[in-house]
Amino acid sequence: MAIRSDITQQHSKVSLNTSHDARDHSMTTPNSTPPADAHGHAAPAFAVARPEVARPAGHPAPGEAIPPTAITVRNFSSWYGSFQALHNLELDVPFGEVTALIGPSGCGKSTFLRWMNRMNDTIVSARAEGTLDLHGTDLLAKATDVVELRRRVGMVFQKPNPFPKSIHDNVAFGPRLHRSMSSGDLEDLVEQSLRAAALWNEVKDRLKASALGLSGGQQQRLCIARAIAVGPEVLLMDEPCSALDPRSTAAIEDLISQLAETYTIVIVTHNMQQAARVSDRTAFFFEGRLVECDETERIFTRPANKQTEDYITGRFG
Amino acid sequence: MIDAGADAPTALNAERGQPASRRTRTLLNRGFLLLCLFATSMAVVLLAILLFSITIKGLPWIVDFSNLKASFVDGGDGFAGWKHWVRWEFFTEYTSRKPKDAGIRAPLWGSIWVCAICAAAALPIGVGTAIYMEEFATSNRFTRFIQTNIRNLAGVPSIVYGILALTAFARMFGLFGTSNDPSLFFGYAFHNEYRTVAGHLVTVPVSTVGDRVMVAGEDGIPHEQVVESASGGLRNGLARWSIWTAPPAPPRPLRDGDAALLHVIEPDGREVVTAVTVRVLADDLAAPSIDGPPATVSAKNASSPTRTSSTSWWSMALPFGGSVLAGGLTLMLVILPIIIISSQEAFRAVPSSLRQASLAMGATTWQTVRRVTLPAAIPMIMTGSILAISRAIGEAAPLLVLGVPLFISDTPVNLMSEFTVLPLQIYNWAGRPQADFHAIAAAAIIVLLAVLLTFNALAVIIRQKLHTPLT
Repeated sequence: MAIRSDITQQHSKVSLNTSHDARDHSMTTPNSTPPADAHGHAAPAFAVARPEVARPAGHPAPGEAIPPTAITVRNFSSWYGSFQALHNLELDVPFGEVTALIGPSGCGKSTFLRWMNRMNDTIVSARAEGTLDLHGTDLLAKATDVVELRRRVGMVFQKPNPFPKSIHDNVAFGPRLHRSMSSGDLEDLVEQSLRAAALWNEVKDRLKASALGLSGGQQQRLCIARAIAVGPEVLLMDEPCSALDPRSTAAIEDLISQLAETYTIVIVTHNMQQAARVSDRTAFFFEGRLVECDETERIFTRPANKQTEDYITGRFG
Repeated sequence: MIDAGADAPTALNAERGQPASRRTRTLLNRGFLLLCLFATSMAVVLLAILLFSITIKGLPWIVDFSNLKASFVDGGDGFAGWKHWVRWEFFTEYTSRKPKDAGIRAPLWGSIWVCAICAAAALPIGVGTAIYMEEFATSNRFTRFIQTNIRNLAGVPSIVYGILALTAFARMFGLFGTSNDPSLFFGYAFHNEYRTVAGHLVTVPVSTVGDRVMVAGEDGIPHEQVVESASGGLRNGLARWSIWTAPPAPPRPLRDGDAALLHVIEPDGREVVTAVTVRVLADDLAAPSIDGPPATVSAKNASSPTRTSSTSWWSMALPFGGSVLAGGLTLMLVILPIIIISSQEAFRAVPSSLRQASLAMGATTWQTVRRVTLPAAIPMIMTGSILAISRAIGEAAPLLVLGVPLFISDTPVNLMSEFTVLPLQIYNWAGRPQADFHAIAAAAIIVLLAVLLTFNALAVIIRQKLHTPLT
């Protein structure tokens, strides 16, 4: 955390003259006052709250020097019809870390994210070639069970999209899809998921109330709770804070840092300070190509590529 | 304007417009406003005239004004006696040659039956089609072709559906014989009906080849016998259900020894049915009437029985003929495109973010439909469907083509029953020369309008109450 706040401070220096508004600068200060405190409660101890059923297999032991690779990407290209959206990506998404995908709009980072749990299957013209491998599972193979894949690779969307059901039923939705559980187990899982998403204390008295009555930030944390209730190995986040106010953003970012202890997280963001704050590694995309991928600290301090430097200092994009 | 010159800018020309034009424009505006007001009020005035004339004509046949007056003016029971204000016989009586005795019992029940069958058939097919088109099908040449066809079908005049239904449902392309002589049916029991000398009714059940029937033997002891030929086997077949693959044998003369049921109408109106053995007299005219215990009945007119059939609630026959099932399916054809289109709109109104959320958690398409999109779309589907069904209630033309009888003195008891509906009854009554029939037609219109308004109100209530925000 200390390293990250250093990066953030450095980054706030370089981005002083960019279009990023004062909101983001105010966001750099709460590092001294954790956002969870700002909501008037302490974030629950995460390791305790994790449900046994949802623990991903093969999580690296603490202190392991080089984390194994969760998702291996080799010579990966993608098309929408005749338009090539991604060109020959080569990337390793490390296990148990937060990988941020940054880049200007239309650079293909969301497309790449949506390939990792095959959400692009819903788009008729979308197709992909190359290797996309999750622990030995070829994600692109026709034979891959998309339903099982999406259970292993959860997704949180840009706009909070809770179902028009109760808070409880939103979280219970995923578990009910995949297996029949006794109601007691289900209640435990709902509580643990909500605790893991730092939402339990706010909603524990109104689990039967409609999820649509929550604030935007609470809805997004509910969506995260919903995603982790099925016990995924990887969490994909597609600009999870872009529709939220700064306070809610801070809460989500804090949550991401906690979740990173348990899950492999890939996050797409337009907010470079956010990338700097929450991620361990950052990949910079430009016009469908992966320009640079390295440790976040290095990307934001000594980027190897001129385009990366131009982008993170706000000269374009 | 003459001096403006061809090369002057148009903007300047506009400024130099004639001063009178503003007044003209104001007048034109006012004139158009009046025209629009007139057009609008035409609709309102016409509706008011319609409702007024119908109410004046028809209400006395529904409301008993003398009892209403007795309740209030003459110091009666006030609102407590509201049941006496209504002429219930208008709802409980069948139609009659005399307007005073005529009621809408048959068409009211017919409409309810047809409507229920229509809804039961149209809802699953319509919503199923919409689910396929919106949730499963990808946009390709085939689905676009279907979509275009559905939209075209919605614009087809209902009488055309009547002709289609006549071929497809009532006659079934002639594949199963005619509706009077269906080749496949079950749940029917056929009888030959005879009159006795005393005027009583004797029915002899018709049996077919292969039936095991009880036959009174020469020694007087009944024994079981298999019917060998259809024409000669008209014995006391038990009225049990079986799938008939051959038409029942034609009526034949009553014979000595036939087991039969004797129907006697008692003076108090009760019908007493007794099992008897028939003894046919040589001389019809000289035949004595029965008395004593009716173990034996003497019959006349034995050579000209009438074929009747009795049915159960599960009776079915192919083809459907002019049955209530055919009527319901006909109206299903009329409203199916409307239900499909309104259901598709309902599914389209569900935000795709909800679908994505469900799919991203590993739900299959069906799980997504079942748990997310269908529950969210149901209020709108219900609204559209109720409006479509209320249109079906008002339809007359396609059922007229189907050959629905206009004079019915029975309510439907099963899917194969004959029926008539309110619009057809109104059409029938309104076409008669007597003014009183026009009045009861107006009364039936009041009932029909009340039903339709109830349905529309129901649709509005569902739209208001059940529509929860989705995001």
